[in-house]
Amino acid sequence: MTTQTKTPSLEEFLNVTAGSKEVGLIIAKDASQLDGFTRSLDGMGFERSEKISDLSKLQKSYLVIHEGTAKDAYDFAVQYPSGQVEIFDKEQMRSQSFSPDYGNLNLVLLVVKDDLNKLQTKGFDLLSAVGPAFQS
Amino acid sequence: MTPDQERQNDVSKTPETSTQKESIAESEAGISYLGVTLEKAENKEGQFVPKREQYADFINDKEVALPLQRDMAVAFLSGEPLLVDGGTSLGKTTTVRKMASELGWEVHYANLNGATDVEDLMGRYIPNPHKNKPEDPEYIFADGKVTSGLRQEEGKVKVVILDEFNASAPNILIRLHEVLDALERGSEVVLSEDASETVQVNKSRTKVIALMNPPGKGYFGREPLDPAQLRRWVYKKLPSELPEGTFSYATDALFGATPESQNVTPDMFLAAREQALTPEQLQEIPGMAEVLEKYKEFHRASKELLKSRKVAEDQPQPFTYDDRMEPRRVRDFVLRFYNGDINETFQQALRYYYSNKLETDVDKKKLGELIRLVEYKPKAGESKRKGLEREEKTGAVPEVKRTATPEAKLEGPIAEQIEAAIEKLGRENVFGPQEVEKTFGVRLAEVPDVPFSIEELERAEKLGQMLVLRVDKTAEGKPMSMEAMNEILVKKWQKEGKGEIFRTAEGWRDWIGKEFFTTEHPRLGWALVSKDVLPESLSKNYLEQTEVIIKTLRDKAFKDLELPEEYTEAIAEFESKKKKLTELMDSNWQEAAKQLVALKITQLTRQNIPEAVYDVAMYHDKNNERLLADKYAWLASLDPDGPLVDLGHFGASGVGGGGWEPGGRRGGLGVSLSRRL
Repeated sequence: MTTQTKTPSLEEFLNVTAGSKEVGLIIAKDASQLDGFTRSLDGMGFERSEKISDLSKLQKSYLVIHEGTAKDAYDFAVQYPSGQVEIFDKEQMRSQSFSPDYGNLNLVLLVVKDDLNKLQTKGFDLLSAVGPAFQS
Repeated sequence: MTPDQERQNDVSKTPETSTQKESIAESEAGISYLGVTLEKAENKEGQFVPKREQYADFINDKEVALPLQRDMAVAFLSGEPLLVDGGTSLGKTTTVRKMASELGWEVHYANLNGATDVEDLMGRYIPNPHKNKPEDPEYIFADGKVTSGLRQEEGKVKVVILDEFNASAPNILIRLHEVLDALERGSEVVLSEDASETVQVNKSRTKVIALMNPPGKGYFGREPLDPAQLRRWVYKKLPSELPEGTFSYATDALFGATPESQNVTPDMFLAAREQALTPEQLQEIPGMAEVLEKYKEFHRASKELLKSRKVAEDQPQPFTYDDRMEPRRVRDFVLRFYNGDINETFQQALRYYYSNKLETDVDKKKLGELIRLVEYKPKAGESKRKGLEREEKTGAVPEVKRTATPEAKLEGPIAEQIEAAIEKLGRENVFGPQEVEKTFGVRLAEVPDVPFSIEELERAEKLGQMLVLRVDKTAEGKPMSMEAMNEILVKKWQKEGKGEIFRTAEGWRDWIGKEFFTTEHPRLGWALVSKDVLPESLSKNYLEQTEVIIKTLRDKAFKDLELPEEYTEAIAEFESKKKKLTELMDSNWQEAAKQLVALKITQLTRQNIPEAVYDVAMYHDKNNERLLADKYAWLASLDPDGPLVDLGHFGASGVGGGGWEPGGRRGGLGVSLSRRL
């Protein structure tokens, strides 16, 4: 007799991240799977954030991590559980601070696995900073 | 009604809950973190002040969260920059923000991991977003994250958090150290990024705290900092991982389970003076010269321990005990926290600036042994407690010690026996005639012989026992009753800030009965007493506990020794009555309780109430540490309604107690082996 472990669906995962005191992380195998995840998220009412500051304004939102957003995303994920997040806009040289209303938020970061590995070796330990993680 | 009735009947009023309230106390003007009070900001508005409701479920555990807040409060109060090194799961950032939310302070956060640009922190010129007219400048200077924390604003207090400090680029560290130097001097930070501007800084308005994960140990990119870079900081080492006790307590609290008692002891508290002393006043404190000499020796010895890697051997972040910075810090601590007892204040300072840099309990203990040596021993008639505070407040009334005459001097065989006991058990665990005199003011005309052999003392040491000389009468010849002990200790401990002995004396008297309270006394003579309950005796009923006692006597207390005849007889009596007692506990527990107390083995190996009080009082008075702080010991006394009395949970407000049927079992109820033969 064998036992099987059921892999949770993306929808089930997003039920877990809803209201969580930590940011969720979706890890895609490659760019193509990442596109698929973003389409699914769009279909489930999530809005795409292009900048990290958008994450603080939307209830259900996701941000794709790439080289340009990695530092901001990491800083965000590290601070999120601490009850207050300060986001710094380098262009405007302006800080804004917000207190997450955890119960009404569902925030997710997306990253391609290779990029995640590179970030981890650079010292951005995203896997420790985020809460629930998903990969299929 | 027992003294603990309130605790037992009302979960919301458990000792730990009340201790929590005392641990962090709030007034309109400020918040006190284990006694260190910080003032709230006058202006608490703005997006950078964390919202207080975010921290409603913050757990103030006694191992990490409470001491961390206290130590942060000390640094904030003195304006010293604090560097906290500890694992990610400890909630360092959250703790700072939680305190800021309570105080209405702004938080300005910068994560230095991956930050390579000094200008992000200090500011740069950007295209003027408000340019409307030709004469408007093309570019304006915009503050960086740190600069905005440095700028003083009316009524605001700001905390700059430098997170992942040891992941920072070297050029950033150099710039930040310039900022720290300016803060220390109370001068100006020159914004080299904007040559035209300087920012006046004030460490009472801007607090700087750096946080870091331990280098190595699975943290990528964290190289140890050069120890020289640490000298500007007060360095505090936290565990790399959440201690087991904290994990368990926090998890219980999260799930709404009643957590184990926290035993927040008075020695965890500090008390800042309303007005700091001046350096000139230091010399007025009796014993300062002696303490200072011992401190110099301590500093050198600590450096040697560190150099030879006898402490901090496994700590990946090297550090030093700086010859210039540490003495200055210790002096400033004494100026701010001197509480009338130079030994206590100095030792607190050394724990703060020296022990706090160490991670393991073993290392802290090693240094603690050295710290204890930094003390002033007053000569006969002198007091180490300087009346500076009292002089200021009450007009120079000299303090009169209870025991103003020279201590009893011992000579001959008894002195040798006591010295041998000290050698085996340690000075802190031997309570002879001198301690009796110091604690209870009784000078014995004749001291009984110590009835224990060297071999028994060796086994007692392994069992964690102390040797206590109990007396049955006060100096006035009255019974050393609970009432008498209370009268003696209330006065003495009030002066010394050692708390209470009974929780409460009235409660105990009403419950146990006036006659018992005023007449029952310890039995005269020496006793070997376990400082904690026997671990195997927890969660056992009274009879099962007695079996544990017998096993402990045979296997440990008298290991490889012949069991004295009294014990052989007492054990035989117990064995012969055990079956009947077991049945009786179910059918008539009151009778079972009576018979259990009357057993020879009970009388030989358990304390009665006055003895238990006497023993814990002696230990606390000498060592400033409370035994039975989080447990209860089941005694050889009955309460007036028939149950067997337990005593324990010795906190600042005294010892509690209760009565239990002999068949009951409780997780925190054990037996302390106390034998007089």
